[in-house]
Amino acid sequence: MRPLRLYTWALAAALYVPIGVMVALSFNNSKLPYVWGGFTLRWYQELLRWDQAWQAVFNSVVVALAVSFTATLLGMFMAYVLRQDKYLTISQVAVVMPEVSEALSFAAALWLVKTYVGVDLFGPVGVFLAHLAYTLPMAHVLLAPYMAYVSRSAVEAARIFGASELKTMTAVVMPILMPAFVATFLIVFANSFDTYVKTAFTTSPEFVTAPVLLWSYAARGRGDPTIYALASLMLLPSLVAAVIYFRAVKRYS
Amino acid sequence: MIRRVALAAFASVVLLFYVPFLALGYYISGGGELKLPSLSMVATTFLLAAATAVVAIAVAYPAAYYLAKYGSEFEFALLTAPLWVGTLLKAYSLLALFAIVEKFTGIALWGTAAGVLVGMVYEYLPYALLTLYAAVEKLSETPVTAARVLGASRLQAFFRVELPLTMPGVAAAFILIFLFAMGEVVMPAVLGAWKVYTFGSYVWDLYFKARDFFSGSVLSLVLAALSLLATYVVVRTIRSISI
Repeated sequence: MRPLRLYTWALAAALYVPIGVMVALSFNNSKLPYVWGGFTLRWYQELLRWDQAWQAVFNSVVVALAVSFTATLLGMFMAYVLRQDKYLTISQVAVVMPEVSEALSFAAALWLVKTYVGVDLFGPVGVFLAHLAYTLPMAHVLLAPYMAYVSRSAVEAARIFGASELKTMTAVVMPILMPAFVATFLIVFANSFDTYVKTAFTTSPEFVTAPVLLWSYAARGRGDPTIYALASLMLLPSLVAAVIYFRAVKRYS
Repeated sequence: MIRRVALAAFASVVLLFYVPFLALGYYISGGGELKLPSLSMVATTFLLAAATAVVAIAVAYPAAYYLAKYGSEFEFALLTAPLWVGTLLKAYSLLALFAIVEKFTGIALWGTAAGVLVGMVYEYLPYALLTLYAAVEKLSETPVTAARVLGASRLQAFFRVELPLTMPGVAAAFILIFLFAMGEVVMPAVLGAWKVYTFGSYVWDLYFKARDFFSGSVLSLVLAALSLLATYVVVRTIRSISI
């Protein structure tokens, strides 16, 4: 058991090394990744002055907020009402679909809409819909296990005392599910915020999000301290989501 | 009223996620010349995906075993949290790490298959952990105790009793990771520097460079069909996949 524990901790450490190195490099006062030139905030200052980066982060935040709010709310309704296995299976299949297939099919659909309806959805709307397409089943799958905590008797009691279906949902069901709702919201937010493939297939050249900007450096293998700073900032939603998620899960056990 | 909202939400899953696949069918029915990927590229993709799955499972198994048997919640959280970090961010952080590794050890990873493998294992390790964790957690102590009473050592009990019992979980993890890795785009592009060319990159290029909807649609559908089949197998082996 002792060697197993050591192994597990070593693995955990290894998992955080790359991310840790990148964050460290964003504070490194040297352009070379293998030279430590002392601590500096100048890359963050440069990032502050870089309008395109701000615009990209802003775009990502807006899309991620809209996506996570819609997906989590609708996902909760689905998880609460559609309890049969068949509905969950439909969502599970969507969750494990390879992302190129999914992204290409979405792009193909947008092209058809553009050709036959004459509406060009490539850009913010296309990105929003493409993100919603995969986060909605994801929210459903994530929320479904927590429905067991909504006791039938509480719901029936509310109904007997004259609460409408909607009132029961908002006053009884939602409070019980709040921690799960918040956790799922954050996970969907983090996911939508830093996903690249689906965005690439559905955006327009004018609508640049943070991952699209990051990709333009990453795909050419260019290391740049200002981009390290940008990427480090992009880690924040994931870290917050992870921490809150595990705290929320704990509240149910 | 809430039933209607839920059904509308379900309809939007079908409309947004599944109906677009019909658009692929439309482009296929339009016909065209099928540009198949080269055999060597398919071989590279297969080998990379299989290697990713095997390495990820081998690395994750001892940790998953520990977590399921003795681990604390904190340790579980620590190991699975990287699941929520995006692929592109992981790829970019490895890019920086590779530069440092190359400087100090002389081992060049960027632009090689080994580098892509490291990236994909890094990305899919949490999936292996979660699937194997679920499999180990279901083990009961009884067969192990029986084996021990009958004189098996702890290692023997593990290899002859527990490991075979978790094989469905291992198979499920393999299929899941293999499929994700087959369609992987980001890691080969960023860490393989477009030199390690895979199926995912090929579909990517068909759309972004060749604008060949026909071939892209055919290959995407093949990948999606494979994934459906595999999911069916996974769901049958492990009833509840927790992601």
